[in-house]
Amino acid sequence: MPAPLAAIDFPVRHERVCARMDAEGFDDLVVAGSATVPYLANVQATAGTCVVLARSGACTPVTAQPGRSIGDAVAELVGTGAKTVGLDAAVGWGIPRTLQDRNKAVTVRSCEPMLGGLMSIKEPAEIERLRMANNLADIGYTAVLDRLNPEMSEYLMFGNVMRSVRAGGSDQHWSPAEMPADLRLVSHYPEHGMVNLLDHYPSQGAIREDSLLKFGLYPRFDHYCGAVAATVCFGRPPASLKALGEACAAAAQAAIDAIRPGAEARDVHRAYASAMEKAGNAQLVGSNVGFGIGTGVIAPTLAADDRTVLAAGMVLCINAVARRSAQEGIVLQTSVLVTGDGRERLNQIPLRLIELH
Amino acid sequence: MSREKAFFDPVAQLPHDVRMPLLGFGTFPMRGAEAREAVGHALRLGYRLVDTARRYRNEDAVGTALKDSKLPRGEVFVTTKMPPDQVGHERATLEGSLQALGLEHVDLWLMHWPPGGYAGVDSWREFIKARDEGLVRAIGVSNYSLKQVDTLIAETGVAPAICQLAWSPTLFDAKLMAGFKERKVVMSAHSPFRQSNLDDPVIEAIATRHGKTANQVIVRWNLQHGVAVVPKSSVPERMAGNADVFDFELSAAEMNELDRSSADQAR
Repeated sequence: MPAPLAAIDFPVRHERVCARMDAEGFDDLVVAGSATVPYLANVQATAGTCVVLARSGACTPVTAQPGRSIGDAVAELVGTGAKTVGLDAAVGWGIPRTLQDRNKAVTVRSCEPMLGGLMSIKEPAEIERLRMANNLADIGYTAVLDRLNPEMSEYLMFGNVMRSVRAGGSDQHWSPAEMPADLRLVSHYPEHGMVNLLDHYPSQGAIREDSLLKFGLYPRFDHYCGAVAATVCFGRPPASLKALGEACAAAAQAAIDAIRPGAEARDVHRAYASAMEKAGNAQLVGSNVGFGIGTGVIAPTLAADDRTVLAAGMVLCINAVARRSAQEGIVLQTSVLVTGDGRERLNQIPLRLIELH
Repeated sequence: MSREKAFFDPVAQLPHDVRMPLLGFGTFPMRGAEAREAVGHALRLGYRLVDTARRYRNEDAVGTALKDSKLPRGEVFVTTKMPPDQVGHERATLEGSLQALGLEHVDLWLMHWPPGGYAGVDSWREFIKARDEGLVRAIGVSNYSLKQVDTLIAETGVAPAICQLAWSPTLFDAKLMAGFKERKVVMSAHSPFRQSNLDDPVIEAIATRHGKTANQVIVRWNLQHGVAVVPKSSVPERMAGNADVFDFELSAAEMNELDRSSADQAR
């Protein structure tokens, strides 16, 4: 088991958030997102709960109870009088409606830009947790690769990963199914789980020798998210797939190399897109090539039009997807820390098409 | 530490005049300073085989310990392993290992797992080349079945010198052992204690008779079977204990009892 890490100082974090709330005119925040809830309250987000943070610093997890809706509970905490309440995108529509029904002086607006900015620059304790989470992702990767053979059952593969990750210190997970961004994947199975088989149909049951195996591993460590994805070809890949793999790997590396403090998020996308274009694959470039990561998916989006300036302390997940078909598609994923003068990859898995023969 | 106190014997004779100590020191999952200190201590105690792997992410620490020990290069047998996802990148992987270890050659290079369950013939050809060029002195495999070993032999004519696998009295399989012997492949045991039932009354009784621990009985059992064994510990007393196995011998009856304990456990 890993040694305990330095605790996250939640009162200090709340002070920082409340100072920003003050500057931006929020009296309360109400959040329900899988990234925002643990960020504020150190608990995992679950359906039917949310967290209210008052400008005083009081942070209260809220759930519905018999005879009292979650909207009523939030309204009681927010209180009366002219209030501006910030909501994240995951807060259900019932809450703002109840707030405004019970208090005509309440104004609601999104707190996502504010919180996104705060969450994107990590405290040292957060970076240590992201290192641990990504180390778990690497552990999961070796648990898949080392024992992999075609025709093994998917559940045996999942079990190997869970055992190894548990021994490494966690069995929590997150899922990219939670994220709204375009992943350019047909499916992933199971939708919520530490291991996701990407571009995959549940009916198969077993890993097939004649199918590419694309998998993602999404462990959490103390609410912080690790992420890797890899593509495995059983046997020697056909020339066109090999070429696509090389192109995607080169493009992913170009994206990583573009990460540095002062660069814009769109520069990362541009580097990836240029490399893919050079290899004749411009049509395979998606609208984004990754996202910020912390307690979940956060800003910035590594998209062609995102002008967020990268800064030391951000952690970005590069999500390189190049798909011509289910049989010709590459998924590569890794997390990268923006450092004072460049970047540091948090994973050690090879970022290329894996051939097994 | 005098040369006489080091654990050079017993040895396995491998192809091309390579002699491998049967007792070695395992390094997984230690990393960094822990790995460096443990290997340093093991070498001072007399261990003369160190087992690492690219996957373990400790080759650099092992290399530092080797350098700090100031032992002549020829006196320490170094094993490392290539991960299965490096098919097509064998030479680069080996060069990475050599650089991390600070060595010009390793004594034994193993394919860590059969890649995707296949025998890995293409990679094995690269292993043979590396051996012929002197970058490694012996080549072998880890976690391979007899069938996979046979495929390598059939396709290249070169048998692995070693097959390292999870092995203990609990996992003993006489047929498998005979199969490797027939193919002149020396067996090597990894995870000898994790794969054992250290509370097994058979092992306990034998240990008590000899005034030894269950761990020591398991190490001795491997050595007497001619199986190389690489116990790992980061605790100096346990490192010393695992190597304190040269002052007793298991009788034929005791060896049979231990061999049979796998069948008894299966029932």
